[in-house]
Amino acid sequence: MYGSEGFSIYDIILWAQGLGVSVGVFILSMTLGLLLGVAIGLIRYYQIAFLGKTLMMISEFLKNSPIIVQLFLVYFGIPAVTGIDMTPIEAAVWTLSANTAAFIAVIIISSISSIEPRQLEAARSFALSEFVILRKIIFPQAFSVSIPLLVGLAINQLQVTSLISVIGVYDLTRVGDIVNQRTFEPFIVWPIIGATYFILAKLLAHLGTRLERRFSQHKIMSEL
Amino acid sequence: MIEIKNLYKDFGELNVLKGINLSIHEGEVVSIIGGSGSGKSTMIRCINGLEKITSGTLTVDGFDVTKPSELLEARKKCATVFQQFDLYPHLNVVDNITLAPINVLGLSKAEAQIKAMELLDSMAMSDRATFYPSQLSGGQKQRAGICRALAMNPRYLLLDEITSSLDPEMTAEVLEILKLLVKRGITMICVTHEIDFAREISDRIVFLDEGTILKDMDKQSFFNDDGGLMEPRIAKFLTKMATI
Repeated sequence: MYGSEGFSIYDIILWAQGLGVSVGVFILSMTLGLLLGVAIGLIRYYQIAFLGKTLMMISEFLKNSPIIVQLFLVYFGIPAVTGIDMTPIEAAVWTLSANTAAFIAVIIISSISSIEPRQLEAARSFALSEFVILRKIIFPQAFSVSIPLLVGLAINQLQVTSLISVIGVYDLTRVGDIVNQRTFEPFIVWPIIGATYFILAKLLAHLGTRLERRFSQHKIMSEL
Repeated sequence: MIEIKNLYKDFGELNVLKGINLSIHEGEVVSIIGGSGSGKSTMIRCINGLEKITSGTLTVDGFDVTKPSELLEARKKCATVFQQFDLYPHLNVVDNITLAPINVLGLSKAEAQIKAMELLDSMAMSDRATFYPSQLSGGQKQRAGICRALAMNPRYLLLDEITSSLDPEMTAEVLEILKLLVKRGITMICVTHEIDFAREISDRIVFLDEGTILKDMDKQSFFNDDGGLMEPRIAKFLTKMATI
């Protein structure tokens, strides 16, 4: 065989580094995506004229084009046009954040529209401000509706982070690729990498179930 | 005083209110009756600013509800109880009641809760304080709705067909509570189908017909043969209601 080498202790360190990068990019892009997505959702809910339409066009593009194309566009396109240099990780975080935001905006809007509008009229008739209505009435209910959808999206976006290896980010998948090329042990390397994603996804699902239970108390109570 | 002058409300081509003139003074209990589609509920919704009026003026203690800057002040003086209760489903009964007092009147959470418990107690609802709306019967939901309105210390209580979604037993239960409120001297504007009830509690009856006020009379004259009953439209309506 061509100088194939066995596994070494350093592979564990590599794996841990890759895991750190993947989880880091995931958490950052989910957080930024959530903030941006909620903002876009609210802009569209309150029908802020020009901004709403523009953001809708951008999110349509983000939802309906391959993420790899978006990664290339950001990583190669933005430096070419603006002259701003970007590290692969920065490009990955921005792309995934924007992509996540587009999906979250849809979830936010549909969750808000699931709220019975008459209670909002009641709240307005009691002179509550739009901000208090948003914070105390719309947000808690929309959030409890959207948790399962957000968790589903998060699990999907976690798997999507594996694509950032193509622009040169040393994430978990890239580490798998490197170790595999050195050891020629695909049936050891890839199951381990796959299992790592699997465990992360299961952790997310578990977290989601707990959150859902906490924020849906009024629904659980009514089922008793 | 609530003053309505030459109020028109259109929904597109549909003219729902056509030149309403009405003054309601403090301490009065005014029942607004009339057939379906006569504009009763729309009138209430104009008073609390949930519908934009098309033309005319509407002031609550001098605050003009058509001006966004004055609408909030007007709304602080009126509290509405709704036909479908419209409680906040994610909050328990106490939190439903205290939300506006805390955020609008600036009460502390503790103060608001004490007040809420007093109100609930007065309506035999204190054992339901931590229940969610979905765990309550219709009558209990409406009593919670009344508490939510009273917690704002309103000068005017607007009641929008508050017994229409309730069965007769629950209706009786809610009407008993309203009688107590009348005794306390609270000003009420009551859109209702309960003619007997209107007759019992009101000082004044306003009969709406197709968006105009057909009669605005004190109770005694309204139910006299030479009063409201002179009007064939009203006589017909009352006979119909009596046979139901």
